[in-house]
Order: sequence, then C-alpha cells, then structure tokens
Amino acid sequence: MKRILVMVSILLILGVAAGFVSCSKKQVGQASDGSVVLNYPHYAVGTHLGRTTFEAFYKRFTEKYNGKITLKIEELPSDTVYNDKMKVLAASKELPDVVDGKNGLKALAIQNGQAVNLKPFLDQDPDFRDKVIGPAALAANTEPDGKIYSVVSGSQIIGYYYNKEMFQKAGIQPARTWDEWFSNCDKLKASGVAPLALMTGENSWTTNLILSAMVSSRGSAGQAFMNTKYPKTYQTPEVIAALGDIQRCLQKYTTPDALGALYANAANNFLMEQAAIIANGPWMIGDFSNLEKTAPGFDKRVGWSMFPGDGLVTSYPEGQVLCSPPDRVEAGWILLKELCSREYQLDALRLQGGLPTAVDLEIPEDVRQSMPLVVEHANSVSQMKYHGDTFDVVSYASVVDAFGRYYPELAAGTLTPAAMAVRLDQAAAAAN
Amino acid sequence: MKTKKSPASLLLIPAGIFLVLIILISIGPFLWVLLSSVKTNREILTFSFRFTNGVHWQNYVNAFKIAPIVRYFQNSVFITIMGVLLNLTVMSMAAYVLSRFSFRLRNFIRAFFAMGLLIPGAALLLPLYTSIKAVGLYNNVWGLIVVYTAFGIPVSVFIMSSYFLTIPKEMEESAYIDGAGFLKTFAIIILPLARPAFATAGIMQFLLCWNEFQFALTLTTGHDARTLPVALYYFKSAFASDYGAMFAAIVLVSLPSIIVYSLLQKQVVSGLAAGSVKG
Amino acid sequence: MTIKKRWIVIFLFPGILLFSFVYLASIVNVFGTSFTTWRITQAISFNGVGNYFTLFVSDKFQKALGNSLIWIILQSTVHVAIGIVFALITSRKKWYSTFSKTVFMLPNILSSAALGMLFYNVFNPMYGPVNKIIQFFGNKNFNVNWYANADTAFFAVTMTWLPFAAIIAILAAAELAAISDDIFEAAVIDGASEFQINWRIKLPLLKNAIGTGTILAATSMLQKMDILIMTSNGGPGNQTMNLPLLIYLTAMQDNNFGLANACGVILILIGLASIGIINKIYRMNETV
Repeated sequence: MKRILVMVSILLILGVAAGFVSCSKKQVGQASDGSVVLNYPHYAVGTHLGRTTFEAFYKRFTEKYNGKITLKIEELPSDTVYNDKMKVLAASKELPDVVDGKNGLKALAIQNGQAVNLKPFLDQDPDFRDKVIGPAALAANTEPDGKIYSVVSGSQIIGYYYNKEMFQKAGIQPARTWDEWFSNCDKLKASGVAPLALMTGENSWTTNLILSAMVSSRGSAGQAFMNTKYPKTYQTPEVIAALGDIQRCLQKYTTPDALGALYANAANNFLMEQAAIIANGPWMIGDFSNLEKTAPGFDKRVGWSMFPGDGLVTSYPEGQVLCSPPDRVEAGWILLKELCSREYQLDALRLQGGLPTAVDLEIPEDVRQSMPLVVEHANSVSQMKYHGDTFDVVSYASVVDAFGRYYPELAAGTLTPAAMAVRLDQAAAAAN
Repeated sequence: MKTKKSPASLLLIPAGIFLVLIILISIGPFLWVLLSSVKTNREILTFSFRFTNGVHWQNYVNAFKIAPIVRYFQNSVFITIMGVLLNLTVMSMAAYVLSRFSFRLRNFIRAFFAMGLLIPGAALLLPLYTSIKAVGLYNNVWGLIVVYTAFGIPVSVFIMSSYFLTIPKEMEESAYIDGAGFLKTFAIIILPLARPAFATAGIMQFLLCWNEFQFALTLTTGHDARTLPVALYYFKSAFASDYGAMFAAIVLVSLPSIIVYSLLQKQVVSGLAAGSVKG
Repeated sequence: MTIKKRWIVIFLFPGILLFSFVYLASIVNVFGTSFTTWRITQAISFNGVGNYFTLFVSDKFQKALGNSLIWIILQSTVHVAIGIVFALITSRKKWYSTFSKTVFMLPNILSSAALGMLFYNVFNPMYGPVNKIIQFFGNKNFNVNWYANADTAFFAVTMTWLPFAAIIAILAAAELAAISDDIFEAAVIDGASEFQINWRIKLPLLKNAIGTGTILAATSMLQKMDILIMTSNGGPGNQTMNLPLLIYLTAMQDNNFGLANACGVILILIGLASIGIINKIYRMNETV
C-alpha cells in the first residue's frame, strides 16, 4: 500500500510539473494589441512539400501585418486529417477564415452558408483579378450563376516522366498514339522492366492520371467528360473503353505491387529504376536528385513527355475559400490575397515546382537552370491538342475511393470495365 | 499415475513451438521498425531486413525537425498520467460496488457502461466536439483527460469487476465485524488485494491515453494540448514520404509504452504476494 | 443498509457522471439521427426506417456485417484461446516468461497507425519479408499481393490482429497470479500431471478472466478501423469491409451522418448481443 502511495505521489508530482510546463507557454504569443485574429489551419507541415513555401509566407505576412492582423495557425498533418477536421467544423458552421476547398470542402462551405462570394472583392481589385489569378484560373472556379467562391493561384500541368536509359534499351521513343503506347509497353516488358509505375491505394493517383488522359483523348465527348465536374454517369463509351485500356495496363504492364500500392511505392519503383514510366506533376522533379530516394545521376536519365496525341492533364484545383464572418471579412480577404500573391507563387515554383497562374510572372533564370523540366511543362501548353482534369477534381471523394476499391477486381478480371462504371455510378450516388 | 507423466512432457514440444512462433511474429514487426528507423528511405523500400549503408542516425535528427515531438511528449505525459489516475480512482470505486452489491439498476448501469465499448468512433466525433466546446475545455489538456478517462470506463469496469469477483467475501465480512466502515474496508482490504487488476487496467488505460489519435486532433487546435500520435502524422503528407524519420518517430513514441509496460507487468505478477495473503 | 446505499451512490456517481458527459449525448444522437436524413451541413429531416432499409439492401453493408460477425466469432474463440494458452505456458516462472510476455505485448503497444503501416509493408509483394521468406523456403516464383488479392485479403487482414492476444494473456496472468500456490502444490502431491493442473484446476479458476477477455476481444472487432484503412482499406471490392470502416466512410466521405448512425445503431446492437451471449456462456454476472 505504501509503495503504491509513493508511486502515485511521484506520478502526481511529475504530472503537475509537466502540466506546469504546458501551461506556462500558453500566455506567450497571445495578441492583445487589438488586431484582428484570423484562424488559418493548414496542412503544409511535417514532410509536406509546401512546408518551406508556407514558412516563408508566414514570415512575410506577420511582418507586413504586424499589429493589424494576427494569424492563428493550426497545423493539421496530412490531407486526410485536414479533411476530417474541416468536416467536423463545417457541420457546426465553424470553418476557419480561409479553407482549402479541395475534396468537396468548398461545396460544404457553400452549403453551410459560410463561403463568401468573392466576385465583389475581385472586381475592386483588377490587378489581382486579371494579372495575379488570370482569366483561365478564374473561369475554372466561377459558378454557373457568376458567383466565385474560391480562388486558386497554382495550376497543375501533368504528363509523364520516363527513364531515358530504359527507353533507349527498349529502342523506343515517347509514344505519339495509344497504339504506340501499348507497343512501347510490350517492348519495355520484353527488355525486362516493368513499363508503368501504377498504384491503386490512396487516391489511385498515378493510375488515374493515365486514365484521365485515356478518356479525354477519346474525341470531344471524352474531353468534355474530363472537364465537367461531378459527371452524371460514368457509363459512357469513352470511360468504359478507357477503363478497358487501364485494365490491360494493370494486368500486363506494371509492377507486382501496383494493386493496393501507395503513392510512395509507385514513386519508389520509378526512382529505384524498377519501372520506366510514371505519370505525375512537376513537384516530383526535386525527388529525381534526392539521394535519400534515388541513385546519383538519376535526374539526368529522366525525360518528360505529353500523353500520346499531345495530351495533358491540366487542373485548376478549387483553391482558397473565404469563410470569414462579416466583421472580419476584410481581413480574411487580405489573407486570401496574400496566399495567392506573386511572391507566394514564385516560392511555390522555386521550392516545390508549382506552376504559377500570374500572367506576368516569368520563370526566373535560376529555376530554368535547376529545373529544366519545369520549363518543358510550361512550354508544352501551347502544343497541347487535348486536355482533361484530374479525377480528384472532377469526381466526388467517394468515387475516387471506389476507383482504388475496384481496380484490383478489374485487374483480376472478376469485374468488366462496364461493371466497374456501374460501381462508380453507385459510389457517386452515395455521395449525393 | 506414472503413465500420465509422459504425455505431460510430450506437451512441452507443442508448447515450445507455440511460444517460439508467437515470439517471432510479435517481435518481427517491431524489429523491422527498429531496423528501418536507422535506414535511408531507399533501403527501407527495397528490402526489409538488409543493411547496406551502415546506421543512418540522421532519421532521428530529422524526426525531431519534422514534428514537434518534444512539446507533444510533455502533453502526452501529463494527459496520460492524469487520465490513468483519474480513471483508476473512479472506476475502482464503481467496479467495486457493481461487483459486490446487488441493487436495482445494477444490471442497467453495467450495460450502460458496456455500451462505451460499442459506440463507433466516427459517431462520437461531432457530439464530443460540441460538448467539450460548450464546457470550455476545447484545446485544453483537461478536455482530453476527461474524454480519455471516460473512454477507458468500459474496459476498466470489466477488468476490475471481474477481479473483484475473485476476492472472497469473507475478507470484508471479517473487517466489518472488526468495526471497519465501508470506505475503510474498501481502502484497506480491497484495494491492496486488487493490485493485479489495477496494473492490468492501468496498462490498458495507459495505452489508450498514449496512442489515441482522432480526438487528440479534433478536440485541440495547437501545440498546447496535442499528443504524440498526432506527431506521427507529420510524416504522412501526400507526395512526400520520409519513411526513415517516420519509423524513428514510431520508435520514439513506442519506447515509453514499452518501458511502462515492463514496469507494470511486474505488478501483475507480484499479485502473487497478495494471493498468499488471502490463501 | 441505508449507509451502504449512500456509499453505493457515492461510489457510482463520478463514473456515471463522466460517462454520461462523454457518451450520453452521443448515444442519444446516434439513435435519434439514425431515423433521419442528415447530411453534413444540411438540415435534418425525419425519414423513419429509411436509412435501415437503404442499409439492408446494400451489398456493401451486407458484406461489412458478415465480415464483422465472422471476425467477432474468430476473435472470441481463436484469439482468446491463443491468449489463454500463452498465459498458461508462461505462468510458471521460467527464464523465458518475463521476456516472452513483454515481447508478446509489443504489437499491442504500437499505435494502430504505426501497426497498420508496418503490416502493409510486411506483406508488400515487392520487398515485404512474408513473400521473401516463402520464396526462400520454397516456391521461387511465389508472388502474392496479399492485401489486393480477393483470395488472400481476408486472411492477411485477420493476421494483423488474431494472433496478438497479449491483453487476454495479461488478464489471465493477473488472475493466475492471485491463485495461491498451495492449490498446485497439493495437486502435484496428489500426482496430477501438468496438463491436468492446467485443464482441471487453472482453467476453471480463470473463468472470469476468460469471460472478460472474450468480451474485450469481441467488442474490439467493433472498433477496428485504422489498421484496415492502412492495409486493405476494406478492399479489394468490399472483401474486407467491416462496420466501423463503413461508418467512417459513410460519415466522412459521403457526408451522410444519418446513414452512418443507422449503421452505428446496428453495430451497438450487435455488440450488446455479443456481450449478452458471452455473459450467459461464462455466467459472469453472479456475485460470489
């Protein structure tokens, strides 16, 4: 009994001491200068690629608006964590001042009445509207009734990276038609490597990029499908045919771990030179010379290409949604603008290969030198013949999940492409 | 009688195989984490038990850089200690009454507590967020302590009342005859005897407080109240993976649990002493 | 007697208060909204048993329900047996006892996020040790993608929790420790074999621990989600879907709180039924 008492009291003392440490820090940093306090949770923390960009932004912002606006930052590590917390907040109408609208969060912010129509703000600020954001990015987020609930300051331009050495060994060039794409895959396979780094875990990212290109390359109907949000049905001839093509890729042309693989697995298969092709955006370029992840000189062996027939997956994600209540909406707008500023876009380009929307922003010389592939991305747009958005933007989260859920059955042949399209429709219906 | 001895020793062989198998599959994964925590990303993702480039301690340095581990560690220690103490105090009392005395509503209260085991986490998220906010414990270590104390109620009730049932009633009766009151009997007779139950329930409650993630995240906004499992997610961003640092963080998060468990385990075994008292 | 009654109330009060604060609102909420159409951010409207009807005709739900039941049964039999056998083997103080007990606990100590990540990698078809070991000992061409193959996913998921019965073992060890050694010594003197001591003496004395352990093991299957998300995510198709994951996906992905809560009610009912059955089997409600 005595021993237990001693143990308990030691624990209590330890606990109180730890609590003291916890509490003593709480007072610091609390703004009492009468400035407007804005809540801004974000996920650019930990190993996230945007971390440095955000840190630079935060420093800039706090210096510039010292005494006027105080940012209350909440760190939400990983996208899932961000989503889950935002949904809880959305349900109680307590979304923070500025929210990233992806994965359906923008729709929730509009539904619960918190999202602010940005049109009047934009019209008062033509430089920001026409130069920093630009008409294309603006159009992507304009509602049918002309309202604008979000603004994005970066675009995604996606083709695929390939291993030049493996291509040379197989005696091939980047394919110009889908037939050539498949014959390339055959040749790569014959030369002893897995042609494609695919994955069906998480959001099936690298697989769905190719699927998007396959759909949007199928005539105007295909392209229209891949550029329409929340399509009515996935049972269209284009989607079913593209699913058939993807089925072939999953069955014959990928690594043994592709089904159920995470992005990290697919990326690693490409970086470790076990697969010849990966579809992904320019944020991956930094990894090509990261010696923790790949062998020295790998970056010299990587080429980039558009999809067969000069296609790209291009996307303007939802971007930032303003949810401030009327009494601090002006301050919220300033925060949103700073999150889209030219400086921010330039940092994102330099630090994570993010392509800017600002029409007057030239790619600086040092970036041209260090990331020549980024320039290739930017220049390719003028040659583009077709383009589609990503499934992450076009589809409900439940549909993106369903892709990963049913790809293994598609690959095993227990599900036909047509039956898979039915499953996707069911998943979309569940989200409605 | 003698013939029965040989099958008994025959039993040793399957028992041995069983034990070895269990140990292998239990320690294998942990060793894998431990090894991975000193490997580079590339080594981890190629083959799991091979070393090529020597020990890569950098992962541990990175782990501290990537996530606010020290800060969250302090919170975890405080929240866990308080959560365990509070839970054991409250629930030893409740379990004692529930297992010893029959009264109306007893079965109802027991079933009521048991429901806690069955409520799906996703269903708790929103209501708890609202009520914790309403009482002003949002983003406060005490909010998490209260929630964890309650989360542990069903398990602690089961463990403690099942143990109290094994303590013979005569012990208390003689105490009552000696003139001891209700509280005194509980504190002096029952509590010391129930040490193994405290240790067992304590381990379970410790693990709950130490490892819980979803509510640690939902009921807090900043570094002041968050716990270590949240730190693990700093390594899980999309399009980026630092597996090495992540495994280093997993080791850092798990070590205290392992130490605490080893200490408490002795308490479970030392129940022997208590047993001889009553025997 | 009245004094005793007062003490009963005093002893129960803090527990009930805490429990009510955390759980009561949620329980009421879950039951109430299970009869409504309630999507996150949208107004709630009553729709009777509509959600339950939607659930029972959905093949996803049927699969999740079936899997959950199978896992509950496996967990309350095989898993509990493993724990008890382990506790009996290590109950005699041998050099390996403490070591084995600590090691056995390791998988239960790691947070479920870490554990899921770990099993995902252990079963990885490219570099995971499971396939490597099978290739080493036998079939050189052996290659199974455990979590993505319809034939193996259920098994691979089950293996992430079925063998790790350290909690059962601790419960049993605590109760074994409380049994006086005299009983065993007497039995040995009477010529009882080790097997007889285990089977005839120790096992019956462990009744309460086994009952408690079975309840904890069975109900743990009603909360398992993190590991599932990290390994098979309920796939391929819905092969490894269970009720908690279905609830999570319905709530957080489809934003359909009403439907998720109807599923939650069914989960609670299954849990209460399991506890009732287990209590009956082990007759745990009796005071000594």
